[in-house]
Amino acid sequence: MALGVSLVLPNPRLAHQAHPLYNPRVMANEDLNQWFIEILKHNESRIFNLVYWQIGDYEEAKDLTQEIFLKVYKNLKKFRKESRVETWVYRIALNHIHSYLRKARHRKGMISWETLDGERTDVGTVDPPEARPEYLQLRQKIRELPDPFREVLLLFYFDEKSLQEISELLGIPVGTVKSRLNRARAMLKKALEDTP
Amino acid sequence: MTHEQIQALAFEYVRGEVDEATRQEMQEHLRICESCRRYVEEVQSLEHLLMEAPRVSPPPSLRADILQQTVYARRRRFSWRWLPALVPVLAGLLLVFLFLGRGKQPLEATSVTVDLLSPEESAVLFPEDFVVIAAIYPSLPFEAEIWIDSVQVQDHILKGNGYLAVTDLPITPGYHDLWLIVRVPDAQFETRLERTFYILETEEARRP
Repeated sequence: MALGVSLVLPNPRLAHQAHPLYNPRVMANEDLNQWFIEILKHNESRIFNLVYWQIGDYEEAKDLTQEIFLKVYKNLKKFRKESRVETWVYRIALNHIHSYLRKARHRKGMISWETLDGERTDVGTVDPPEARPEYLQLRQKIRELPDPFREVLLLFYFDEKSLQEISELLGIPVGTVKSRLNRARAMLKKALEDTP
Repeated sequence: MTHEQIQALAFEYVRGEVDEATRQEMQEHLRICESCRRYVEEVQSLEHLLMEAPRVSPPPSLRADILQQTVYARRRRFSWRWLPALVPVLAGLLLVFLFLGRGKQPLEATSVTVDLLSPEESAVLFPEDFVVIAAIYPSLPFEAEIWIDSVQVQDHILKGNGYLAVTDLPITPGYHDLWLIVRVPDAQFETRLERTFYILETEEARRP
């Protein structure tokens, strides 16, 4: 049995108002869990897509999305609410994807590039629309874009984020977002043209 | 407008994001310039491809997997596969308890803690106070009995999410003995805690 400090709350008739002082540890955990579930519901699919279009492997995207949300859960207590929670979740996701890709490229010498770039779309017996050749090629070319350009492009087209939102997410000026987006489109256009 | 300027603005043009004056200027140029027209058409088809690219549904198990590792992780920590290995240990413990004549002691699961927050012996309280007397962690459903001076308190008890409190206690000023019995059926946990506390008479007495 652990002994705590005396806790005498002066306002006796407001018991229904969950004052965190009643038991900060328990109340906070309950609230955090609820909050996390909300965050998960709202962002699960979008983060999964963000990962999938960068990694290109369905199973791997699932694992990475899981890891991202585990990080979110572990750090939710430390989230300072200086930015929107969604922005914070996306930052965690983007950093995680970055470090995954960095490690994957580092391993490139050891594993076949096809494994990393593999066009596995084993999401069922029926070919999903994203398995159509033009999208396979599009995904391949998007993945080959340098990180800063790919990120902006995916956030803009696949997440339908505005330039302003992307600027907040990445912590760069709107003008930079705009120029990266233009550059990304031009690079993608050229890459697709160069493909026989 | 130069070819380079047209091509730089091509995506914004097809998305309808250029202002009216620029749009007209571009249209004039496109009417006479075959190569820029082709460029804008290519841009249009890439824009279409990007806009129409399908979103992928995450696997249905993803959310459950994440929740199992986060929100529900604590409960999942217990695994029945260790049970066979624990049987001799549990049997040994049972024998020790029986031998010591303590077989009727409640089972105390180490995973549940009850912190008696207040009152401590030195604490002074007022009858009208709302007092949190214990925190139960984790916040599983629990039953509680409160006894003050060997009389069970039936009303004035508030059970919250992971805490137990009393308010407006109908007791006289002076020293009182508190017994608290907390049972957490899910964890087969029961504990009894004791404390002496002091009830003050008036609100004014609280102020120095």
